[in-house]
Amino acid sequence: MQTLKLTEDEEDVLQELMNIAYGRATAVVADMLEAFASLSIPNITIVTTKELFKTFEVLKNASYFFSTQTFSGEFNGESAFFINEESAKNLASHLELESQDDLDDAILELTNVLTSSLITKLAQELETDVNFSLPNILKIPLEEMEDVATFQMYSQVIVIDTDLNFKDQKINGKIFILTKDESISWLKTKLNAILNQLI
Amino acid sequence: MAQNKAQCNLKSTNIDTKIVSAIDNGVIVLDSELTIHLYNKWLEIYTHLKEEDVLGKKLTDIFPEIKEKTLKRKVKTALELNTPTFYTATTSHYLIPIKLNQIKNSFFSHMQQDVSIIPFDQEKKLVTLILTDQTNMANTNAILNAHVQKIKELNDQLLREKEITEMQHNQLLSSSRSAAMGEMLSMIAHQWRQPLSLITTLLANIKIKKELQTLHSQDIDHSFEKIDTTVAYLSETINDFRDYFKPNKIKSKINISELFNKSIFFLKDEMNQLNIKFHIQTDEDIEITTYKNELLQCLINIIKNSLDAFENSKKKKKQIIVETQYDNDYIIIIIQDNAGGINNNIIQKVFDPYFSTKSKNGTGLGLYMCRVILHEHLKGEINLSSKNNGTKVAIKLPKKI
Repeated sequence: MQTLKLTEDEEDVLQELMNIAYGRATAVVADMLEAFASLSIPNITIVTTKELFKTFEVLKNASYFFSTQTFSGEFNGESAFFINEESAKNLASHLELESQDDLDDAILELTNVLTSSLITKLAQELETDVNFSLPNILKIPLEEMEDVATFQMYSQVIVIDTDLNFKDQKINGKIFILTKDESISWLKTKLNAILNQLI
Repeated sequence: MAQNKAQCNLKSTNIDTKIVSAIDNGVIVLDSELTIHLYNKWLEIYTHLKEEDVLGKKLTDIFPEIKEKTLKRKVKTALELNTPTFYTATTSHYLIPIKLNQIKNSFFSHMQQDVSIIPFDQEKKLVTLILTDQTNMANTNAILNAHVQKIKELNDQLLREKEITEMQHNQLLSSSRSAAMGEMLSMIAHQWRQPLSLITTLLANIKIKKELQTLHSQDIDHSFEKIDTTVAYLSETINDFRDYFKPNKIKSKINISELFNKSIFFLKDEMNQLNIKFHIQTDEDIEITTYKNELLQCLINIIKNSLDAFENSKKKKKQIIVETQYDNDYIIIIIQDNAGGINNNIIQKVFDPYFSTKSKNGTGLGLYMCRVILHEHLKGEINLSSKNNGTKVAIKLPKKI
């Protein structure tokens, strides 16, 4: 299978769009957590699925919650959100959550907020509409992640690594936006249109 | 054409309202203070509440078990981000409590719901809640999880049992070795009896001759020489015995005909007593690389079985024949006797543990252990057949392991 790669310029534009979108998410997350929150400037990289598994290797050392949410439309794919156990505990204690289900719900909400704010903003810039499915907590041990066949469907992965700081607590999460070749090809066209406007 | 278009245009018939009323989902319109602005037919049916009775009321007043803080947060997020927010059946189970009395979805007492909170009117701060019944799915998941759990438990149990079996297996192995050792001791006792009585006789002779004062120095020399040889023989027996019970950790190259001689060395006394002829038909120089003592234990065990069978036999020409066949990779050792054979009813069971025909004298582990050793340690095979009043045991071994 031929993998489409983004050029350096295309990556720059995408990074810029992501940064704008991320700023909007910060405000909503702060509101959700009812505390002054700041999101660190996200570290955004675009990698292949193969390289993604290397990232999982690193994550194996800690215990993680893993949730996904699919989005449909001309630009479609799936976002995967990882939050480590300690961060999840911080979140639970801050929101005064009582049960595991409540914590799962809060993680899903965080997933939804981050995914939809990022993707909606991106879609807006790219002049298209997206639809979001319900997010979903996956209880798959990270060691078995490579066996999850659906990961193999995706070729390029946009990785957004961010720290969410509020008060004295720290929440670290990683979002992976998984996209298929057809979406990447569509994305390239749109990014190039924006690039041309800039010149 | 124009007529068709008019027929297709259903706007005038209030289709939106009709769909909201007919749809198989719960639909509620709320503002950010959770006041109800719409409550569809589906909800009326499931909650036994009329729309007119709930309009303008706060949803959390009607259903006090809803967590107000969480719902408000989700509504606010949806409005601010202008994107849907959700409750999922897997984690939140349900928003509106709807009791179920179903046989098919017995895992749940309440309808499991996915809820999408969709921004509807940002200015008026209205959202639409769409409830989807996910009880079937949740129930299937719950059944699946219960089964997965059960499989995990069974698997754990299986692993534990396997561990126990392995432990018992090892105990068997060591107890068969003790039993074999006991048998060997009684064989040695047999072999020692004659040389010991020879020494006793020689010593008694010297004593008598001395008392009769007919003792010459050459008598003493002669007797000492004989005692010396006999003691050397006794010592050799002990060495062999000790070697045999040293477990072999390393494989060695062994000459097959030497191995046969060694195995009958332990048994020849008994063979002579029973008047059994032992024939070895093999090339002098066949060699194999294997664990020597393990193979010796098997051979002795099989030959000893033949001897035991001859004990009750009145046959005149008793014989045991050992022969070998070989090719490039394998060697086949065949041991046959004419001691009467094995009854067809029990021939299937001879390799079973604790199966013995020797009543109180047998442990029932001999052939079982032979097979274990040959299969697992020596990578070989063993076969037993019986016909024409005789038993034939064939052992196939790789020339090199």
